[in-house]
Amino acid sequence: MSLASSLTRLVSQLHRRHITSHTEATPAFLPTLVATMDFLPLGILTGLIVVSTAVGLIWRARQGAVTSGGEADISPALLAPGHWLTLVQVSAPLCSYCSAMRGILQRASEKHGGVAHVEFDVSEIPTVIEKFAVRQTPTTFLVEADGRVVHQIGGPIAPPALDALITQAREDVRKRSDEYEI
Amino acid sequence: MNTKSKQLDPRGPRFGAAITTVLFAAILLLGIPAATEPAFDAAWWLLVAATVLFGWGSILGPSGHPYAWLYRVSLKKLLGAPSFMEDEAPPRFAQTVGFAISLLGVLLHLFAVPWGLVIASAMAFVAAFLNAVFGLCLGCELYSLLLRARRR
Repeated sequence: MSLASSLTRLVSQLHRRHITSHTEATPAFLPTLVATMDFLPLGILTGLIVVSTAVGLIWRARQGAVTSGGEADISPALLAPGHWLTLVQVSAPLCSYCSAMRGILQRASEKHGGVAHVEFDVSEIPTVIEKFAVRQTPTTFLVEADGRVVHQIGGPIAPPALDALITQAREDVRKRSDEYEI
Repeated sequence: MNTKSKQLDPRGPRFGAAITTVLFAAILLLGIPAATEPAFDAAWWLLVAATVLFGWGSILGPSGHPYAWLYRVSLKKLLGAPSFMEDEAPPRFAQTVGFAISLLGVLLHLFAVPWGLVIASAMAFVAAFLNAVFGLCLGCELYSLLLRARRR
């Protein structure tokens, strides 16, 4: 109790010294600021909510963004052999949605025939990270057996959207093999 | 990843972030009118409490936290089982970032720096709001940014 009260006294002395030193150097705009104080708390809080809502909306719009049809490819050595499509997931140790994405990709690979799921840590595949400029985790690549990257997904994606991408990729593969037969 | 760490219901930390959002909104509303003259008022004590709660989550982990207990006895029963589990490490790191920011506010206030408490609380408020409303864990993003900067 005595310790707490002496500490409080010490700190209040510190305060007084600082406050006096501050009032000496008070800028001219401060009185007007004090006059508008009543609106300030709610105004600042509203401003913070508006700014963070904007940031959140932009972030959310970028989640699950799909980049398609690049020229670059991934070394087939990283893929699961014997599958026409491999879902290559890039994860990181402190990644909130990586385990959610793991579940989504595993279920998709079970649902669609000939599709496999492999997962790498960002540190394991530095060349892929550099080549595709991976800036977030999870990032997922839909890769055909020859290493061609069909789609790149930044962030988590909803299962129906993923299903659509896989179905589309299968159509494309079938179309191409038909062309060869002709 | 092969190292299997403790798994959490991801809605738990988000529920905690909602409480933190309300707490920091209260700190800002109470603290802004007195921002130029730091005193040991209600805003200060609430910030101290928030700092202790962040410290608890950071050092002992989110699962034993009072907010996690509140979540288990309230929302969890309504929501049922989660569709996926989350690694404990990201929310724990976010708690550490929250702890550092609110501790900065506490120290600035102790040294009677005008607006110190408000600026630190505003940063914590934005982070907690984004986590609660959008599920965006700023602390986790910050960590991956740091990792990337160090590699360069």
